[in-house]
Amino acid sequence: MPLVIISGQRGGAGATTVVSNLAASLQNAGEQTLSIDLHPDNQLCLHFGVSQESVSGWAQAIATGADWKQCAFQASDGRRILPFGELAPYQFKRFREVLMSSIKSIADTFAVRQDEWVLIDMPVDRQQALSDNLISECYQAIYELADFSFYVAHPDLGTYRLLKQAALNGETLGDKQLYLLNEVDTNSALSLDIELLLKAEFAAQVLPASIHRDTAVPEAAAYMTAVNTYMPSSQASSDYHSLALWCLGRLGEDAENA
Amino acid sequence: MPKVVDISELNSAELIPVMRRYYASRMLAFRGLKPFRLAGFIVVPLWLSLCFVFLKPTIAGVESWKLPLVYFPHINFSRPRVSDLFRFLIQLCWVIVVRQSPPARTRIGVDGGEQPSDEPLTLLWRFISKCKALLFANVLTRSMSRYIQQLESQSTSTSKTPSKKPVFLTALARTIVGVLLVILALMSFTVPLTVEDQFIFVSLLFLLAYALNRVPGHLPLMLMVGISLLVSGRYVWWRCTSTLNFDDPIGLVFGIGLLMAEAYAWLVMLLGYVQNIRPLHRGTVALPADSREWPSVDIMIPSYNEDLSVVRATVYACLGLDWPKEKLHIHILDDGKRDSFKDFAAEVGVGYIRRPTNNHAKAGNINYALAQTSGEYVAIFDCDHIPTRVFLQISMGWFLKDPKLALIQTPHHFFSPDPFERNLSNFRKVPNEGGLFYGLIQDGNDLWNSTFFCGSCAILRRGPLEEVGGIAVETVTEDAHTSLRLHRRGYHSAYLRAPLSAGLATETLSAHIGQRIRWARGMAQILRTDNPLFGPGLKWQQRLCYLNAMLHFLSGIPRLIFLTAPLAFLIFHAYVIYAPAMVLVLYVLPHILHSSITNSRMQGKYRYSFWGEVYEVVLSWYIARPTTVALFAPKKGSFNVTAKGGLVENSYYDWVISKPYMLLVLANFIGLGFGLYRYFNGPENEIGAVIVNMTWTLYNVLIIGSAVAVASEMKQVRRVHRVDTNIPAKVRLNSGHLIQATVMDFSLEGLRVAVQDMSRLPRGQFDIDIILMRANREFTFPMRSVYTLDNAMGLHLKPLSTEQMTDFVQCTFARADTWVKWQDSYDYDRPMASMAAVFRAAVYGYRRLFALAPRPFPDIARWLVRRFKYLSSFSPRKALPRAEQL
Repeated sequence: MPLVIISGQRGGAGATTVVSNLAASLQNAGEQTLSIDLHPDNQLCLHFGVSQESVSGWAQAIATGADWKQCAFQASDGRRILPFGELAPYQFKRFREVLMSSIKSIADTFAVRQDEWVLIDMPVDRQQALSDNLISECYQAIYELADFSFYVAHPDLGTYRLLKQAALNGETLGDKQLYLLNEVDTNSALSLDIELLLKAEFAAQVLPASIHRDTAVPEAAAYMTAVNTYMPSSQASSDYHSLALWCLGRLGEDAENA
Repeated sequence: MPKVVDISELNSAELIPVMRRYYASRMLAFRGLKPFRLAGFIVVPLWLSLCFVFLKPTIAGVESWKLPLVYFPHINFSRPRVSDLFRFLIQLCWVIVVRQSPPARTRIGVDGGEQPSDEPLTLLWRFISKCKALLFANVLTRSMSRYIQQLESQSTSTSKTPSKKPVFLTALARTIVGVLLVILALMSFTVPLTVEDQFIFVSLLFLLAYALNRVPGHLPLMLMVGISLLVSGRYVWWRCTSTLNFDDPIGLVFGIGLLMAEAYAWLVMLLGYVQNIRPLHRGTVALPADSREWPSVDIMIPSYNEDLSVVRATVYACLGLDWPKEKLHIHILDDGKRDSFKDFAAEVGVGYIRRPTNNHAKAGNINYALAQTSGEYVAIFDCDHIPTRVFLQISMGWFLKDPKLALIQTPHHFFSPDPFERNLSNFRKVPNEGGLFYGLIQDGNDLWNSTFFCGSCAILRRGPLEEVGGIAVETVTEDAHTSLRLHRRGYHSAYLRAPLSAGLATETLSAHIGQRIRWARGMAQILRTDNPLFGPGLKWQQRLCYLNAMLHFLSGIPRLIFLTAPLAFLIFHAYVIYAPAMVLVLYVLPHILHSSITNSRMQGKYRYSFWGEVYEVVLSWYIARPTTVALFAPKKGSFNVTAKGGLVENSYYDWVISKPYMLLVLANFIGLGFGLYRYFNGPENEIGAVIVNMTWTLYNVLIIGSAVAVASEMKQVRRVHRVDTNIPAKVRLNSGHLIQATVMDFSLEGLRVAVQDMSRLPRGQFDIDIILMRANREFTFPMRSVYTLDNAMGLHLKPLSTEQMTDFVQCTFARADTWVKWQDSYDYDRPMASMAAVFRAAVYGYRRLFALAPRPFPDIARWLVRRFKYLSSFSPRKALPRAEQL
C-alpha cells in the first residue's frame, strides 16, 4: 500500500501537523492509516492523543531490545501511530548501533503492508536534526520505498527563492517529490500571490491542494486531535480533505487498478 | 489515552433491555408529529413483533420493519383512522399490481433496433413494450431509420467538398425540383378524400412522424416539418373550401374571423419552420496573439431613470473586462441628468456624457454619444446588464475575420426570475419566455444572416452604424430597425449563443407587459414604415425572418379569437366551422398534433409545449390594441421606458392587469355551462360538436388559468436587488479561524452567507472577512454583520476601493460559472409533463383567484379543495424507498 514521506522544507513548516491531519482525513475517507514518527523529538504522538508520559516507541523498543511491533497506538478516530519513543542519552548510543540492522527489517515490514497507508514524519534536514550521518543514511533507505514524498513549505519569498535557485542550477526533483504549501494566509496579498506564482511556475512540483492558515489547526493539536474532528467546518479541515482526495486519486486502489 | 478496546458482544442474558431498545427505536420511527394514539400503540408493536418473529431482516433492499413506512407513505400508523383501512387496501392492491421502481422501458435504439432492458418486467409493461416494439422496431421502421441516417451522414460528408457541376445547372435543377415540389404539395393539399380515406391517411402519417421522431439527426426533423406542412396544408384547404356556411350570416362572420386567425397561425408556423430549420451554432474566433492589434472599443451604458446602484454594478463589471486599458473607453450616457452619476463616473474614472435634449430616448442618447466618441467599435449594455470579463475577448474575433460584419449580438440572460417565473415559481425549471428567442430563433436567424440587434449586450462596428445614420429613431424598437437597415446595406450580422452577460429581469408583470407592448408597437411600426418584404438590399430569407419577428407580435387578436371561438357555438349556437364533428376532428387533430410534435422536437430545450400559449395569452389582450393602432397610424404613441429594479410592496393580486383574463374566464365558464345544457337537452346530432367545442373550451380555461396565476404577484421587499446563488466561500473571523461557507445571495451592498458551523460566530454585530474565489484566486472582502440567524447571516460590505469593488463584482455578478450551465441545464421537452405543469399552474391560478374573490367564493373554494384533498388521500402513491430509509 502507499507509503508517503512528509518532511518540512525547513524546520517549523508544519510537517508533523500535516502528517496527523492528512492521516485523519484519509481515515475519514475510509482508509486505514499508520503514521510513523522518525523524529527523535517524538512530537507526532501528541497529535494522536498519546499521553505525554508515554515513553514507548519503535526507537526505544529496538534500543531496549523489546518488540517494536507492540508499540503502536490507535487513536479514537482509528488512526494508528508508531511513535519514535523517548530515548535517554545512554539509550541513544545503543539505538545507533542497532539501527542499521533493524531499519531494514522495519522498512521491509512496511513495504509489504496491505490495506494500510503508511505516512512517515521525516525529520527536516537529516544531517542537522540528527547530527549523525549514520542515521540519515539509514533513513535514506526509506526514500527508496516511498510512493511520494511531500515537502511542506510556506508560500513565502524564501520558498520561492529556493525553488527558483534549484531550477536555475538545473536540479530537478523526481516526479514523486512534491511541495505542499502550508499556512496560506488569506490575510496577506503576498502570501496569496506567491502561492499563485508557485503553482503557475512550478506546476509539476507543487501540489494543487494547499492548506490555509487557520487557527483551528494549532487548536486541534492542543486538544491532541486532528482538525477534522476538532472543527469539521473549518477551512483547514476542507483543505486536508482535498489533499486526502488527491492522494487517493493518485495512490488509492482505484487509481492502481486503472 | 487511546488504547485498543475489545468491543463486547451482546449479552444474551439481558433480554429485556434488548427488546426495549428494539421496540423503542423502531416505535420512534413510526411516530409522526403528534404522539401515538391507542390504536397506534396496538398496531405498530403488533407489526414489529410479527416482523421480529416471522420476517427476514431485509426484504427488497429495505429493512423489513420499515416496509409500512416505505410502501404506505400516506398512512400515519401511529394514529390510524378507520378510513386508513381503505387507504391501506387500495395501496396494497396498487403495490402488488403496479411496478413501483421506475419502469424499465423498452428502448428503441438509434438504429431502430429494440434494446432489451435487463430488469424484469411486469405483465403489463411487457405487453406495452411488445406493442411499442411492434410499432417502432419492426423491419420497416428499422430499415427506414437506418436509411435516413445513412443519407444524412452522406450529405454531411459530401457537402464539405465543393460541387463540380456548373452553377447554372444546379440552379436550374433546383428551380425545377422546387416547382415540382410546389405542384405536388398543392395536389396533396387539395385532393379530396372520403372520411375513411382521410382517417387512414392521417393515421399513417402520424405513425410515420412518430417513428421519425425517434430517429436522431437533422433529416428526420426536416421530414417531420414536411409532414406537418402537408397535414396543415390539407387542413387549411379544407377549412377554406368546405367549412364556411354562406347561408348563416352570424356563423359566416365568426367563421371568417376564426379562419383569418388560423391563417395567421399557419403562416407563423410556416415562417417559424423556415427560420429555425437549421440553427447555426456559431463558434468563436481567436483574436490575434498580439494585443496591440486589437481594436479600440467604446462601451456605452445608457441610463434614464434607473437607480445608481443598478448602474454601478455594470460599470464595475465593465472596468473588469479583459481588454487593453488604453483601448477600452467606458461611457455612462445619462439621460436623467443626475449629478450623482457624474460624481460616480469621475470617482471610478469612466466617461460621462450628458446631452442637452432628451429627444428619441435611448436611440437619441446613443446617437449623441456616438458623435462624442471615436472607438472603432461600440458595445452597448443596458445599465442592468452585467458583462463577464471575457465578453470582448470572446466576441470580437468575428469582426476581425469578417470585414463586412457590422453586428454581434449575444443573449440577454437574466439571473433574476421574470414575472412569469416568479409568480409561477418555476425559475430555472421551465425555459422562460426569452429562452426560445435567444436559444433558438436568433441562432436560426444567424443561418440566414439576419440576426436582430436587441438593444443591449451587443457590439456594433462604428463605420456601418454611422453609415445608416446611427441608431434608428423612427420607431420605438430602435434596435431591430437598426439591424434591418444594416442588413439592407448588405452588412453581415452574427449571433453568439453564449451567455456573456446577465441582467435583471423586469420586476412586475405590468412592467413586463409594458415592455412587450413597446416591442409589439415598434414591430408593427416597422412593418408599416419600413416593411422588410419590400425595399432594397435584403435576401428573401432575411425578409421572411424579419416578417416572422414582426408577425409574432401581432398575435394578440388571433389569440383572443382562439380563446373565444368555441363560445360562438356553445352560447350563440353559431357554427363557426360548418362541418360534421367527426370530419373536423380528422382534419384539425392531425394539424395540431403534427405541429406540436414537430415544434416540440425543434424547440425541445428552449420552449416547452403549451407554455408558448400561456405567454401569448397573458400578452394577447394588451398587445392587441397597440399593435392594431400602430398598424394603422404608425406615428402615434410615445416611448415608455422599461422600469427595472423596482419593488413589489405586498404580495398582491394585480386586479387591474388580470381583469381581461377574468372576463375570459367568466365567458368560458358560461360557455361550459351552456355546453352542458346543450349536451343533455340538445338534438342528438349536435352532441359531437358540443363535445369538440367543450374540449376546446376546457383547454382555453386551462391556459387562461395559468395566465391568471401569472398575474398574482409575489412579494419583493429589498431595495437593492439580490441574486440567489450558491457559491462556495470562506469566512475569516478575527480570531484567525477560517470557516467554510456558502454565499446564498449577493447584491452590490452585501451578501447572505450560510456558515457550516454557526456556533463559532461571535454574538451581536461583528466584523468579518469573506473570501471569494474566482479562477483559483482568492479575494478578501471586509464585511460587517447585519443580522445572524440559525443558518445564515447577513453581511454588509465595508467601504471598498474601486479596484476592490471591481474584484467584488467579478467574484459575484460577473462570474460566468453561475450561469454557464444556462440553457443546457434544461431537459428536453416532454409534452405530457409540460401539460401537467401547465395544469398545475392553472389550478394554482384558480385557487388564488377564488381565495381573493368576494365573500362566498373563498369558502366554496376552500370546501372544494378540502373535499378534493380528502378524496385524493385515498389514491395510491408511488412507493419508492427514500435514501434515508435504505
